[in-house]
Amino acid sequence: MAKIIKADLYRIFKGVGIYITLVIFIALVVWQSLAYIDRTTSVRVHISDLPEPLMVGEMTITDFYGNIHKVDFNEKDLFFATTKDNFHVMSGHYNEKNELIHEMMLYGIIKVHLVEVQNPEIVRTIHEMQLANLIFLGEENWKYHIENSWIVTDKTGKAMPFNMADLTQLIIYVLLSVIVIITAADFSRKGGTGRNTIAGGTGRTQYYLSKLILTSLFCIVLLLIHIILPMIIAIIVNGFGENFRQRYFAGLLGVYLPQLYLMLAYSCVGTFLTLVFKNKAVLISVYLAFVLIPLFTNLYYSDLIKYDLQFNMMAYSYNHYQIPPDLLRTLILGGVYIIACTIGGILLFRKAEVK
Amino acid sequence: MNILQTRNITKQYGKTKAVDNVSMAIQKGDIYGLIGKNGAGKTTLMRMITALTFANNGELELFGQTSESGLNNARRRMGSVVETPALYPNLTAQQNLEYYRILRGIPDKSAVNNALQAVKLTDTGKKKFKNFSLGMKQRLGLALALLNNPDFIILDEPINGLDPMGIVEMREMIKNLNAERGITFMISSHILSELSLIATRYGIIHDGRLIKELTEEELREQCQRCLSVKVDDTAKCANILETVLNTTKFKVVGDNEIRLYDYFDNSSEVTFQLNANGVRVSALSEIGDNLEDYFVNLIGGEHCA
Repeated sequence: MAKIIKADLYRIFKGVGIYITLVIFIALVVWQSLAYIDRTTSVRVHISDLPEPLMVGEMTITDFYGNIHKVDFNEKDLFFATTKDNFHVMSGHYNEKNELIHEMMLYGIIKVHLVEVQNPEIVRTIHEMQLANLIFLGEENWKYHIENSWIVTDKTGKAMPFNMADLTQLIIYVLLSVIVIITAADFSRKGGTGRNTIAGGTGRTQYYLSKLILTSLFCIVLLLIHIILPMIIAIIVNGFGENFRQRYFAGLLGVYLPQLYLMLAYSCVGTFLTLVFKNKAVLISVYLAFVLIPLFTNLYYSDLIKYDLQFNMMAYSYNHYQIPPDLLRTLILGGVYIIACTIGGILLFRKAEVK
Repeated sequence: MNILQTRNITKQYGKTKAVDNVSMAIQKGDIYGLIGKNGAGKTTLMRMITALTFANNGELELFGQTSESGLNNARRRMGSVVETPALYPNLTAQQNLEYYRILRGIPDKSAVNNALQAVKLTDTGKKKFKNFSLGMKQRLGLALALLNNPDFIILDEPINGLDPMGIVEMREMIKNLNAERGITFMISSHILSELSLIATRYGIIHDGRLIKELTEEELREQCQRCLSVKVDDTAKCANILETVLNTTKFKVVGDNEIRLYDYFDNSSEVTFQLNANGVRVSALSEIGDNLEDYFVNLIGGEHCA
């Protein structure tokens, strides 16, 4: 297997595809990092007294004001209102640390409670990063629920990996390009080079696992870029930050290891699709459908999202998630995809025609 | 020594048998020409040998190995170009071969240049495979097959699409590799006249079945033009051919038939001398096929590939 991986690395870096992919990925990460550093945050609001909890979503200030039917409360950076659709909404616009929270408490219109999250490590991490994990309860039967949402107050290098954790979905899209370069390139319509490898005495299981391992290695590299590059940018702009503790790394691993595990499940799905169908068009369309369809079905079947890899990834990011993190569920869900795709893929590939 | 042996190997797609109970053997040093029209099963047979597809029934033996792992090990002693040469389009000839050198664990870095030299492709520089002519692609395919210094090479239609000079070059390369390095070849082609210039043994495949195997000599005999002389006494006839007509180019093929590979331009002299020496000639006719005719006759007069 090492020989196949070594040969593939030689081939991949002789071509331009990987450089284009990496340049685009790095450019997006840099752009995201700069956007985060310069970010003015508005707050995501869940209204939990509706028949079904519904995320109103992150709105621009313009959209927000444009959709207001009745202003319920408006004071400086804090704004409560009723929309034309009869939703109760809240907007917080702040520039200073915890200003929103302070104002809410100051005006006494809300109560602030720490959410009882299942993983105490996460709570600790949130506190260390000076992030808030809050439920906002409004008066007059309003229930503003910010589920594990957090507010960016720390934009130093130390905090940046945590800030960026909600943007790791980018990797699962870039991963598609990596899978095409590593594996699908061997099975082009005009004549695949994979058959030279198989005909040369390479076992099919060995071939399959080599491709999977290399894709997974690239997945790790992409994640490392996604963690380290924003950190470097933030250090240059805002410095590393103070109050660094040993637990910092534990916090990082707590966020990124489950995410990496689920990304590896995506690698397994992509490799499975490539080597079973051996058709680039099928790979791209099915993979994208696998990634994108849950984002749409979520609107109608919100209960199903806890079985989706991407939503589970986001559960560890604190910011954009709609389901709470659950390590056991993550392990089982990722494991099912990893085992089913790898074993099923190998069994099918061992019997398949190689064009 | 058998390099390759198949025993009742069968490949079925749905209800269609692409390869049907084929038993064949290729011996060390052979240039085995596999003849068959399009869809006869040549490529499917080659694909089974190279593990690109698997037989539904039967057994494959390669270098004496029959187990899955044994066959994979045996395939490392083999080179192949099945269907069109498939290499990475954006890599150069040198880069493509370097990739396979690393993949096959060939420690000698000069193996790449040696293979390119063998097929006269050392001067392609930075030209990418996608910009190669068909002839260059075929030659690079052969270079890939040669990379691991194989004992056995399988080439599927290696002269397909080549210009006349390319065909001559490919033919000479195959003959040289067979003669100088002792490499055994299995070659399929539908250009039978070309195949007849290099092959030492032939297998004729039709509708998935191997209907005939024959050596170069046997084929030459089958295809050689001759006078079929039907006589009442073949022994006496043979004696007259040797003593009176001074020829030994004949063969007794039955109780009353002799095939004479001489006197095409003077068959009346043969009749005259046989009659004059007391041999009754009941019939004399010129017979014999070229390779194409022989193939067409063998598969039942269908269109040749």
